Amino acid sequence: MSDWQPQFLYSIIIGMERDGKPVPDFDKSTVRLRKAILSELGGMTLIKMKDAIGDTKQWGPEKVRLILVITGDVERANDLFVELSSKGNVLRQFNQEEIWVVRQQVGLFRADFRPRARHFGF
Amino acid sequence: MKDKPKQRRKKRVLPPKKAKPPKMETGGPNEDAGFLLGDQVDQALDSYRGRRAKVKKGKYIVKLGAEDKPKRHNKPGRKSAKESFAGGGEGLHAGERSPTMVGISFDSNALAVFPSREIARVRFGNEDEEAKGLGLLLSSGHTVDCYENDIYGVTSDSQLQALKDAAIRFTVL
Repeated sequence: MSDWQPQFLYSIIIGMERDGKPVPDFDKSTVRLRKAILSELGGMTLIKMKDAIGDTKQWGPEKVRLILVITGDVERANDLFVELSSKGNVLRQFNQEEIWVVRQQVGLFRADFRPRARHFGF
Repeated sequence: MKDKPKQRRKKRVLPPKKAKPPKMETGGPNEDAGFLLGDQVDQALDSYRGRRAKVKKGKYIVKLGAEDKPKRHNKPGRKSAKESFAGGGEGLHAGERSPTMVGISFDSNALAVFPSREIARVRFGNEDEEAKGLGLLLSSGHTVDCYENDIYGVTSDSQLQALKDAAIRFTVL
């Protein structure tokens, strides 16, 4: 029996600057996006955020916010991102020309330190 | 008296030098580095203790081939680390690591690991402070986990300190 569950990893890459200036209310938009994702995909969804420096040929080095979402419900997640970018305007609030969402199929192992995990020998 | 005209030596026409292949930049002495002389040998031997050095016409070669690696003798029935990693482990598939932490295995067998180092969960006073607080948490360079009911997982003491310094109201759960 394998404890690796098939899941989908969505990496949302959002630029934090526009024309060299910080996007206003960027953090508020992030909070709205987080709420939208969790309310649509449920509490078992894992969201991690990190600020970093992105680099592309088109834009060069740029501060970016990386939002990682792990979920098993690929259809709802796909619909959610389409809706957020078209109707919901949540992604538009980031005031960017483009927001990249990368989707990968992954296997997720949840390290569980309760007694039932002992058959692995730790 | 007239000096004898100096005899000019004929210049030897040397064959054109063959272009040497570019040297590989390496982190240390290896087979590509070729011959080592003098102190270099001692240094190399110090670096690679237990490996054999061969002597050839006054020049030393430190041979670092696979044949010099100590051989492991596995007990019968025991899987090597390579076999375990490549799918021999219990309940694991090729490319997956043993279950010691939260890991994500990609289809390409690359592995991204998200270390679970959450030290506290916090909730902010209101939506404005939540936005400011989230920005502060992320500006420290550390990751932030997000949960239902507006709860955030903090992964560094410096993040908590930044919230305190900015006088943002939050509750540690």
